[in-house]
Amino acid sequence: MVGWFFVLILAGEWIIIQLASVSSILKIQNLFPISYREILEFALFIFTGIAYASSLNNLVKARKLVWYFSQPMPLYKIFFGKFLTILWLCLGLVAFALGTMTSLILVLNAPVLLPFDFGWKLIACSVLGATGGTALSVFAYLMPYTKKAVYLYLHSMLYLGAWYALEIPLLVPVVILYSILLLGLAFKKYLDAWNNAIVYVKRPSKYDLKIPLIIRERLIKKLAYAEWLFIVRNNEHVSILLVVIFAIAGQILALQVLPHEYLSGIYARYTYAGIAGTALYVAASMLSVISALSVVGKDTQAFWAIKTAPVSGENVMFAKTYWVLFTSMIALPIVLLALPIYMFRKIPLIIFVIVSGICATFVSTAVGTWGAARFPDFSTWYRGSTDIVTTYNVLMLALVLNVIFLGIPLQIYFFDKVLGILSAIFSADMGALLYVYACKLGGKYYDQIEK
Amino acid sequence: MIECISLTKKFGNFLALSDLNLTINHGVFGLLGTNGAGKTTTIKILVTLLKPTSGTAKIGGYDIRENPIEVKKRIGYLPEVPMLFDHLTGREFLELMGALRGVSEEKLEKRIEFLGKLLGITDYMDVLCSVHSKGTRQKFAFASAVLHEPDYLFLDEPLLGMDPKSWAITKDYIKKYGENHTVFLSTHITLLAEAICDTVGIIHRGKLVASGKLKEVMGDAHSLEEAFVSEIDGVGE
Repeated sequence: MVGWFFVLILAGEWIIIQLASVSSILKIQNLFPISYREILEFALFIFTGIAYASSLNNLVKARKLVWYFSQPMPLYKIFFGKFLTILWLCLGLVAFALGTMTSLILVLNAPVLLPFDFGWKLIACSVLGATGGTALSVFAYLMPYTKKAVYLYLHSMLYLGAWYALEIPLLVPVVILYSILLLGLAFKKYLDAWNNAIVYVKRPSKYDLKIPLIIRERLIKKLAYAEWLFIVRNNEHVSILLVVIFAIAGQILALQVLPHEYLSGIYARYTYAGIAGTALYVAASMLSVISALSVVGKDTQAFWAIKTAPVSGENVMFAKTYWVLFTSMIALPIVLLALPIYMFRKIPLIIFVIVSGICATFVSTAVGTWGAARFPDFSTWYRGSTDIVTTYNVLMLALVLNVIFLGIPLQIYFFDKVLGILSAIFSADMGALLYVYACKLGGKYYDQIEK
Repeated sequence: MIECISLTKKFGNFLALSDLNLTINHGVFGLLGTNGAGKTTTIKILVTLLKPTSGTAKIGGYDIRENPIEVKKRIGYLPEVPMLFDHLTGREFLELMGALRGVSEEKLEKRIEFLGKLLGITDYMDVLCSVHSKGTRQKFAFASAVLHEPDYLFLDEPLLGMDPKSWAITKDYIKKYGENHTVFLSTHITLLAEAICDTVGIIHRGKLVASGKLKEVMGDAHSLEEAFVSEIDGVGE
């Protein structure tokens, strides 16, 4: 599997090199109107995200560090020791990306289109990202909120500084000094954040369900309600909203950077469908597949509580994925509506994409539901998420099924709108059936789980 | 009645439980053993969390392999590490557990109030489980196990982490509960077993080396601890 990921990365880099070569041969200036500066700032955000996730798991929310804290060892050794591993991770990723890219350029004898300073700027971004991400994970767990807001504001200045430093080299030392200062502040506040993350007493708000649950059976209703509390008390509803906003923004941004002058007729049609499909797949992966994939594993050590209750596995799987299905059924059609409303404003297309969104919801949730019971992961690293290889495989399965379930109606829609809508409705029905069977099959797997 | 018939469990090549035959009628049964002897594995098989490699068990006449749902309807379970749902409050956890076990809402409310007072957890009812202390979690898990007054109660180290007062109250409750129900208790605290068990079994390296009424197993020994050590030493390493 590691080899397969390596092949995927090489293939991605090969595509970038080919695009660059083609644009160089055809002398197309700004095939995609994105500057190196924007790419580097984007890379900085990616490194920040990687460092944040790593720091959160290994530093801020790591209960096991209590064993280190109780040793005669200064705190800075623990903090900066962990920071160094995060830094190595980010630098390692840069080394891997630049190394493979250089090798490919040499092997393919492709033109080097990147300026020389791009390389060292990328390395600088990885260092800043490691620092910023680590600091962010600490600041995010400071209390009270006013203190958190002040520190997060200070943190955001790093990215503003980096943006200008990418153009003005004189600012580079200032930004580096600022990032060191932020890391120092993070170290100073680290124990507060660790304590807040581990034992902070949250006031449990009441979240009475105003939305009617279309469930008759009391025990399934109670289980679904517990899942609802998990969503709202872990602020997952905010994540859902963010995914929808980013998926819509991504489509509009893609339209802005799209080289419209090279698109016409059939190419335009498939390009727009491709943009909407990509946004749908990203949103469906995060909201339906990955969310459903974690419903069993996220019980972690509390798995016994439901497993020893007299409830069939099928009912458990249905109740646990109820909100995934419900929220996705609203979110995915909204994501798909962006292009038809922004560009085309045609009623048949709007109906078609709403039905397609519902279909994608059923199919994606079904795949996630099956995967959750088939490959449960009770490790506590992040709310029951399965390991990266399993997640990747399940996402690929969801991609293939979605292409089948949505691709055929889309093809029909291009020829005949009414028939296209009818076939989309049929696909959605089949998707619902797939979900029902996924609950049944998942239930069987659930009953077999030993823990 | 709880009946274990040639119950065997292997984890890979490791034999955790070997040909366990056991019949338990009413009362409190204590399964004693050293660390890693197979006590938790036995309980986990009986409450259907694990599947036996061979053999089976019957609880209230229902086979754990063939009728797990019927078995689950009749049992209450307290695990060795009683982790609860972090995102729920103590009350919400108990309400969920009660609903899953079919307790009516009216009865559930009364039981939660009763157990809350008995175990001294009323003040923690509306606090998230994620911040409960180890002892409080233990009490909530115990409450969830007896909430629906099951015919068969399985307790894995039930008093771990409890304060002395709760220890005494819970111990008395288990003893009294065993008068009308069947309690299967796993522990390595011989003093507890001696105080509340009617029958005991000693398990060592996955094998049942002694079982019977408390006095029978104790024999001439002055205490259950002495009898236990003697049995284990007799088997040898």
